[in-house]
Amino acid sequence: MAAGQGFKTFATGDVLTAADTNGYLMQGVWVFANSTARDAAVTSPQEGNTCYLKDTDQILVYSGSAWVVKSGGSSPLTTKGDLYTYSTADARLGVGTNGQVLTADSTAATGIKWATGSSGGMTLLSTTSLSGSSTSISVGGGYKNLQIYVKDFYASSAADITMRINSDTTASNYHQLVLRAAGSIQSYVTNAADGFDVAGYQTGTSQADNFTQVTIYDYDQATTKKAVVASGGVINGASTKTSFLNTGTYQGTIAAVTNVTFVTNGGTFSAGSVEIYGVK
Amino acid sequence: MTKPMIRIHNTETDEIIDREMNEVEFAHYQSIQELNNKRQIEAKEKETAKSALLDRLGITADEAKLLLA
Repeated sequence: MAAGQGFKTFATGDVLTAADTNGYLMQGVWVFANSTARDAAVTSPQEGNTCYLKDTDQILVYSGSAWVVKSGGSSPLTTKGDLYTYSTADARLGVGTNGQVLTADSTAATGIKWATGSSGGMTLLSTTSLSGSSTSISVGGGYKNLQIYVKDFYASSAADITMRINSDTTASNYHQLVLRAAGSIQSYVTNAADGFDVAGYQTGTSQADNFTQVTIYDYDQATTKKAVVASGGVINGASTKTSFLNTGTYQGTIAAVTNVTFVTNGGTFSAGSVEIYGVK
Repeated sequence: MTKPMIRIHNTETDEIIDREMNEVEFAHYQSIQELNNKRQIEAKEKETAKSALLDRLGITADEAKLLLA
């Protein structure tokens, strides 16, 4: 088949040659039953040749190396929410369920899929009132980190709060650096007696705004030992507003953390609560 | 003698048990109390010795800090 010549205005008396016929007159849209019929008829297509295939209702243009669909293909979409996608041919991707997000996935036929997004955020697992000289709280699994808030606490004696992992009271298992400051660093300790030193407080109801937060990283895995960071302070101290920082590692076992125990190192808890959040 | 109370919260069942320490827990508790008392005494002795030294030198704690800065 000849290549298209463009457009020509014939004048009266012009002779219509074979080249004119093939280059001008034959350059319309050729209609075929299907691509097989087209390829049989047009054995040497030229760039710009155009055809219409009745079986697919498509208009195609020859690019110089292949027939390229330009318009007219039937839509694969059938249902509300369908997405027009492509694998090796046009394809529909049905809408996902409520809340799902569109995700790239090279293993999916069309390279994308609907999937449940990662939820993230924090989930409140438990709230426990502090009581006695120690309060032990079980911890469920299924999260990445534990975020623990100890709030509004004070006790019958001025003391520190220690947090134990899985009820372990072995002092050598708690490696930690504890900084206590009120204007300047008052003291630091390493390896407290039998748990992580996570807060200090004075006594009396005026101290009831005391707060500390504890993070236990990767608490639910049983392949490595656990890192713990705590920070907080005496907010309404009568004489000092003490800040408190602890960074440490639990060296006991690699077991998942299933229990935390808060212990007052003097007297008994008069007030306070522990909120434990699971963080994805 | 009444032993200190402890609280155990099973968050799976939301069951809360308040009970006295058992013998093992109480023994550990006492050892920690003794350790804390010992530390407090040591801290107090250190503070007393520091004050005595400052008195002998005739300077205040703030002046000592300036000397060491």
